[in-house]
Amino acid sequence: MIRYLVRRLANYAVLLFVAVSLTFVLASVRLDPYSVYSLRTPPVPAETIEGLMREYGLSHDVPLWQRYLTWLGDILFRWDWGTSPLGVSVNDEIAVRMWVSLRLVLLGSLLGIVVGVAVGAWTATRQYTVSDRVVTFLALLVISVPVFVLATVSTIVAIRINNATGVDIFEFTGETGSVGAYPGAALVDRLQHLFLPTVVLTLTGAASLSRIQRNLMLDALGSDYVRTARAKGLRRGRAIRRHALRTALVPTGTYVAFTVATLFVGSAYTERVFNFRGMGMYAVDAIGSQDVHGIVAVTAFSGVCVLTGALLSDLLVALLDPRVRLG
Amino acid sequence: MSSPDDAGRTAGRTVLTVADLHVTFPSEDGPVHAVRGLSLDLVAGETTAIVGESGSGKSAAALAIMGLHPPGVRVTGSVSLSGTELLGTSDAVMSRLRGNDIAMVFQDPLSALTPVYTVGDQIVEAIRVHNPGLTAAAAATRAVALLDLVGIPDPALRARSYPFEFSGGMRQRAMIAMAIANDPAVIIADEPTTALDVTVQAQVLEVLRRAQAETGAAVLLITHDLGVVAGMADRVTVMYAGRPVEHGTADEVFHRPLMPYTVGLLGTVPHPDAPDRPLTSLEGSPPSPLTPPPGCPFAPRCPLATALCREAEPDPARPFEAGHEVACHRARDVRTDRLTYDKVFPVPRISPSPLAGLPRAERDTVIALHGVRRHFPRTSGSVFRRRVGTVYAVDGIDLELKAGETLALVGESGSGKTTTLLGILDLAAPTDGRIVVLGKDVSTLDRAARTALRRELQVVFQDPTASLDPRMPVFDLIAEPLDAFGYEPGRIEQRVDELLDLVGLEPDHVNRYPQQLSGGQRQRVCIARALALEPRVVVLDEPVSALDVSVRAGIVNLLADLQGRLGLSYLLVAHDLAVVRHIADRVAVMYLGRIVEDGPVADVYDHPAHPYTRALLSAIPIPDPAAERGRARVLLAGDPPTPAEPPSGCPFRTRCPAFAQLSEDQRAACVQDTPGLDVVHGLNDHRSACHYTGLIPAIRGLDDDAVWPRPTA
Repeated sequence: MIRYLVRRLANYAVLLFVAVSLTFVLASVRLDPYSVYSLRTPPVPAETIEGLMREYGLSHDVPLWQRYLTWLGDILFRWDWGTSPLGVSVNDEIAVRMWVSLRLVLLGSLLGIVVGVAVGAWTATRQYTVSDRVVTFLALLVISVPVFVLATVSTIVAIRINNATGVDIFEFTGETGSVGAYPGAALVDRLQHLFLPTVVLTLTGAASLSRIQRNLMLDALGSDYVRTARAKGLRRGRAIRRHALRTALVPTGTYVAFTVATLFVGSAYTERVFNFRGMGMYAVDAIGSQDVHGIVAVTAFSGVCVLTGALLSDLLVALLDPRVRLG
Repeated sequence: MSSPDDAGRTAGRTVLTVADLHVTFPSEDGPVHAVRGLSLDLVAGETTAIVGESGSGKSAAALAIMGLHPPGVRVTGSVSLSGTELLGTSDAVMSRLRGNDIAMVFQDPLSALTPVYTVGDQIVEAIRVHNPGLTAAAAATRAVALLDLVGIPDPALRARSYPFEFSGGMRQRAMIAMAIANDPAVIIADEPTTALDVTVQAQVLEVLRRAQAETGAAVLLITHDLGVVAGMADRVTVMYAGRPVEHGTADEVFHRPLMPYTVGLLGTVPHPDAPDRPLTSLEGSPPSPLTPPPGCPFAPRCPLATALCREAEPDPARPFEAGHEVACHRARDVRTDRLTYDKVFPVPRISPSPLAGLPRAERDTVIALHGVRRHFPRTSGSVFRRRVGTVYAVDGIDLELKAGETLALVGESGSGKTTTLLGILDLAAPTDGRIVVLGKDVSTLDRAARTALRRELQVVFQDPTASLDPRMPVFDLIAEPLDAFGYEPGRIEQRVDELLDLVGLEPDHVNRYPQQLSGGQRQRVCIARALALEPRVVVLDEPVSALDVSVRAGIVNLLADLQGRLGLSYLLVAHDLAVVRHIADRVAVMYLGRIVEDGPVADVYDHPAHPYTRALLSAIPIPDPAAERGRARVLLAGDPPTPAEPPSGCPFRTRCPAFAQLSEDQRAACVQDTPGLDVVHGLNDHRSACHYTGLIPAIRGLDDDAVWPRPTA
C-alpha cells in the first residue's frame, strides 16, 4: 500500500510539473506584463519598465527558456513563486487567499454534501410523491440559475431584511466588517460574513449532489440486497439506512472528494459577489492584470487540488468499498 | 433460537395458508394482474413447488406472502400463518415475522447480499434483529455454526469474507444459512439454483433439503425447472398467466397431468429414458397481463381448446380427483382419453440429414483443433499493470467436428467452453496448437481469406435480446450480413423472405422491432441471421438457456430440423445436459481447460468413464419424481479450482470422489501425471482422461446406479 502510494505520488509530481511548465510557456507568450504600466500618468519611461521587468523575470528581451529556468530555480531552491508585474509577491498573495478559500469552501461544501446526500436519499425513498417532485423542481432551479445570479439575489434579499429590521443581520462584503465591542464579537462578525456565501455554495453543491444521490439511491433501493435485508426482518427505515444508503454512498465518495478539491479555485463567482479575496478571484484577477507568475501559481495550486482530490477519492472508495480494498 | 410456535410445528401440520390471493400492479397502461386467485397450503416438513414461466406470477405471489410488495401494489385475498392473518398488517408486525417465522432465499446470490458487509455480519444482523438480547459475540458464534451447517469450509474464517469473495454456490449457501438462522416455520426459495452450474445446483439443493430437515419448515420452492421440482417437491402448483392451473402431489402432476399446459410443459423437457423422442413445442407466448383474453389464458396455444375455452375462463384450480386440482374445461377428456403430450401437441417434423447414412470416418472434417491452448495474462494493479500469472483458460485440447454432426462442449462455468468457441470464431492463431476450419489453418489466413471464411462460420448467442440491436427492424437485422457481403438489394429481399420462412416466422414480422417479439421469436431471428450467408458451420453458444421452458423445445426442434435440411454442422456449448443429450451426436466434457472425456453422446451418457462425467450426469435433475427419489447422487465437493492455478497432475483430483478412495500409491499417478485421453471399453471413439478408468464403475458412489437411473417400469 505504501509503495503504491509513493508510486502514485511520483506519477502525480510528473503530471503536475508538465502542466505547470506548459502553463508558464503559454502565459509568458500570451500575456503582456508591460501593458500594466502603459496607461500610467505620468507615463513611465520604457527603460524603467524594462528594468522592473528584468528584475521580476518577466522581460520579453530575455529568452523564454532562460526566464523559465530562472523561475523554476527560484521555486526549487527558494520556494519563491515570483512576483506580479507590479512587484507583489505571489507567495504572500497565495498565503492569504488560500485560507480565505479554505474557510469559505470547506464549510460550504461540507454542508452541501450533507444536505445533498440527505435530500437525495430522502427524495429517492419518496419517488414520484409531491415532496419528491417539489424538491426535484427546486434542485433543477438552483442548478440552472447561474451562481452569480443566485449570489446577487441572496444579497438583495439580505439587504431587504436588514432594512426591514433595521439591524445588520446579514453581512455580505468581505470577510470582516465593523466589529462590535462585546466578547467574541470578532468571531460573530466573521460568521456573519461567512453566512451568505456559505448558503450559496451549500445550495449549489447540494442541488447537484442531491440529483446524483437520488439516482444512486434509487438503484440501491431497487436492489436485491435491500429486499434481502427486508426479508431478514429489518424495518424499512433501517434496511434503507444500513443497506441502501451505505452502498449508495460509495460512488458519492468519489464524486465528493473530487468536487471539493476543484471548488477551491472554482468558486470565483461567489467570491466576487461577496468580495472574498480567495483563490478563485485571484485566478480571474491574475489574468486581468497580466500576472504571468500569479496565473502559473494558481494553476499549480489547482493542479495540486485536483490531484489531491483524485487521491482522496481513491482512498475514500477503498475505505467504503471492500471490493476495491481487497479485490 | 426457539420461537413460540415450535410446539405446534409437527410434520404434516399446515403452517401457512394462502387463499384466493390476487396481486395487481399499477402501470402506465393500466393495472397488471400478476396473480389471480392463488390458493395454497404449506405443510410443515413438506416442499411445495410453484412452477411457471417468467411472468406467470410465481415470484409476485412469493413477495405478496412476505409482504414485500411496495405500497401501491394491490394485494387481496388471505395469507395466514398458523391462523394469524398477514395481509393488511403493519410493516412493524410483518418485520417481526419476516426472517423469524417466514424466511426467503432469493434467486441471484450475487446481488442478494449487500456488497459492503461481510457475510458473517449479514447473518449476525439476521439473528440479532429478532433476538435483541443476544450479544454480538454469541450471534457471531451462531453465524459461524450456521455457515458450517450449510457446508462452507473453514466457516470461522469465511464469515469474515465479503460476498464478492464467495463463489455463486457459496453465496447461495450463505443465503440459506441466513434464512434458517431463526428456525423459521416457512422457507420460501425463489429460483434458488437458477444461476448456478448443475453440480453446484445439486449441492445447493442438498443444503436446502438439510435446512428443511434441520428446521422442520414448510418449503415453498419457486422454479421453472421441472427437473428440480421432481427432485424436491411433495406437491406442485402449476401457474400460467397468474392463475394456478393445476395442483397436486408431484407424482400426480408429473405422471397423470390434467391440464394441457402441464402436459405440454412435460413434453418440452428431454427425458433420459427416451432421448430420441421429439420434444413438444408449445408455440406462442402467454397473453399480456394487461388485457387478458375473456377465456382460458392458455386457449390460444392449446390444441384442445373449444369455443367454451375461448369464452369462459375456468375457475382457479379446483378439485378434480383426490389430491389433484385443475383449472381446465377439458380435464375430463384429457383423463378419459389418456391424452399425453404426443397426442395433444403436434409432433414436430424433423428433416433427416442427407448425410445420415454416411459413416463418420468418411465425412469431411469441418473444424479440427489440435493441441489448442489459449492462455491469458493475469494482471494486477490499476495504474501500473503488471503480469502476475497466467490463466490457463484452454490448455491443450483436440476436437474434431465432422460435416452434418453436432458436437457439444459441456462442463461447469470456467471450464473453457466459451473460450474455445470464441477462439474458433476469432479465426486467429491460438497461444499454441492449430485451429483448422474447413481445411484451412487459421494462423495462415490473410485478411481476405479470413473474411471469406467468416461466411462459412456463423454464430447464435445465448441471449437473443442482447444480441439484436433494439433499434433495427427484423428485416435490417437479417439483411445486415447479406449487405456486408455485397448482395443485390432485390436478392436481399428475396433471401430475407426465404429465411423468415425457414425459421418459422411470418412474412409480416419484417417490420417489427426485437422488443415487439417474444423470446422464442427473437432467437429465431438470430438463427435466421446466422443462416443468411448459407454457412456450413454454426456455433451455438447456449442457444436456449435464456428462453422460457415452453419455447425452448421449439428452438431445439428448429435447430435439429435445419441441420437436416441444410446439412449444417453445429458446435454447441450448453450447460443443460439433457438438451445436449437430445440434440448432440458427440459430446466433449471439459474441466479446467482440458477435455476429460469425449465420444458419441449415447456412449458417454450411458457409460460415462470419467469420474467427473459421472458426477456431472448425476447432477442433472430429471423431470420424473419416481426416478429422482430412487437416485443416488455423486455430489462433488466445492467449486472448480481457478484456471489461474490448476492443480498438478490430473486437474480433477482435488474434487475427485475416486481419488479420495485410492490408496496412497495409486494417488501418486494422479498427482504427478496429467492423464491423456485414452480409448474406453475398446471403442475407438469414446475416450476418457483418467488413470483409473477401469476402476471407476466399481468405486463406491460412482457405480452405474448413481449416474443415470434406468427407466422405471
